[in-house]
Amino acid sequence: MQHSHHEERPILLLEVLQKLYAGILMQRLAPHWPPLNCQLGAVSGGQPIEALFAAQHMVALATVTNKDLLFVKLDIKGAFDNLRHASVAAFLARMPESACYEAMRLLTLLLDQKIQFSFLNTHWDIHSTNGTPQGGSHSAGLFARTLDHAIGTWTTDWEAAGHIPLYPPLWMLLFVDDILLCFNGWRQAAELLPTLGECLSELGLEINFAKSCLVIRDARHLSSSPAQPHNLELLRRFPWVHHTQYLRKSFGYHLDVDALHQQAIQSIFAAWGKLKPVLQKAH
Amino acid sequence: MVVRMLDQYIGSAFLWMSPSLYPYQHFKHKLLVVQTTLLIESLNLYIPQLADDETYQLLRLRRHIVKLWIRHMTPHGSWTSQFLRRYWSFIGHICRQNFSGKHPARVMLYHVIEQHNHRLNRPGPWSTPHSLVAKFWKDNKMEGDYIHVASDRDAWKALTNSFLQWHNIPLERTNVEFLDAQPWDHPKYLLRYQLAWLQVVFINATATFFEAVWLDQIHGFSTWTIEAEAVHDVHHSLITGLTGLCLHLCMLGQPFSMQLAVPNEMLWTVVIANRNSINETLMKCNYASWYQLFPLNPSECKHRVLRSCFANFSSPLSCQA
Repeated sequence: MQHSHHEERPILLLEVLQKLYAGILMQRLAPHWPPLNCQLGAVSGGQPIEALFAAQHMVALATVTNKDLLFVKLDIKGAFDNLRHASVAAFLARMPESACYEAMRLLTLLLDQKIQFSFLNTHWDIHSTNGTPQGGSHSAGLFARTLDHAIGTWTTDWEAAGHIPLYPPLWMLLFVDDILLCFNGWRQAAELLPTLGECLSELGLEINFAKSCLVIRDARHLSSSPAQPHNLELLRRFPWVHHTQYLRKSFGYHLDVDALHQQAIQSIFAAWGKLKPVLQKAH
Repeated sequence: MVVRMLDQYIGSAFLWMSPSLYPYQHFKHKLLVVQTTLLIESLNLYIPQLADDETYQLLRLRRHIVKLWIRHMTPHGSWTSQFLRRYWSFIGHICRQNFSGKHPARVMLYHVIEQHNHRLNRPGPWSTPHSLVAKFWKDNKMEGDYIHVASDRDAWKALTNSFLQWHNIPLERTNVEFLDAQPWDHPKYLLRYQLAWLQVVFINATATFFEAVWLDQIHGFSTWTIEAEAVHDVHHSLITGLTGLCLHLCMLGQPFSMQLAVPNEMLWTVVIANRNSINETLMKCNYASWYQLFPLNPSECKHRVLRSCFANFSSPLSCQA
């Protein structure tokens, strides 16, 4: 299989001291973070099972009520690498005065990120202008909170504009950069999705349409949709599917009732395949 | 160590998603089957080339023992048990959460409950955590609202075992099994299989002595006897004898499973009457991983193969008398 250079992502080795320092800063900032809106990943107490449980029950409810809900699974292109420093700075600027020193140090750490490359006898530096370094003790937490805060602002605007989520107060499930939006119909999706795209682009993030998808029960409903034609353009850019994978688990319509159970059994055999050679050596 | 590795490494691959898996009967069964199969393979309990019916009997015995042994060995029970425990504790956990966007599982549970309170647009039951817990509540004739009970973490946790029992998950942990009769199709098989992981020992005891006979692959029929220093009851003699026998056999090897055949009706009644102390004694001995005790009826005792074995007992057995 051939890969283009865009698909290559080098491993970033960060200095241990920097990791420790960033970890301490994050710990000190923990009591001062603004309240979370919907983020479940890289935050204290958040766990993927909550997102998975909610996602499964959203579909289950849609199925028993015969409602044609639209789910949009969003994949963000190079999420950690592209987060705009300005948006992180704007987020950290909201911290209270008692935490401004730590916030400032964290921002400095982010802005002064220099990546050193060595290949054979050649060495060169790249000054990182975007993103949080992958593998940093602060990266996932900072990314998750910045994104959550921005999304929270937009969903508040949606509600102020009179939109109501189907399962109040849930607009979406957010696990670090895995987003699953739930809309009550084409009109709502066509109206709100472009604004979410704007929100992401303000953060320097971009939707990866190839890996994102629109999960629908029946595409025929589109012909009877009263949505504005120009708004549908964005929706047309997504692949339309009956089901997909969310958090690496089957999600969507027209799935077997025990699809997730089958996947659980498959996980057992996959893990067994890895453990078996170890056990054979032990005998 | 094998059990722990399986439990922790493989179990963790799927147990995290337990709360999103409705505990269907077939799934619980499948989990037990898979865990037993993988454990059998890990334990390397070898079955030699034999006739089909003999192989079948050994396969059945091996599977039966390992299936029960899982319960004894794993601190949190089988995968089915762990899965149900997680399912239960997660429901309690989300019931205690605030209703807000940052707790989507709590929000969706609320919407599911709301939907249950209204008409569904399709026939048949709707399998959700709410329907399951509501059924558990009703079947156990429990009062109040489960969401209210879940707000008390300890009260909810105290219901875990009831939830497991409601799913027919046995809770006791033991590696001693009392059978009503010998487990083979024919009594001759008691002396037929010479496997490293299975040992069959015939025992007899009176108030003054304890005696054991087994067939050794190299030495043929072997006996071990202990005489009481003072006259006690049969129970005391049995307990002392079993402890001594295990200590003696430990020097010769340690099989995975030990079958203790009791060819004496009187002695079997004593065994049954003292299950708990025998259970405790054998667990303490730590000789085999699994023990099976069973009686031999008079017609089985009369079998030609067994008679040659019982001839090694110093006194005639009551069933042969």
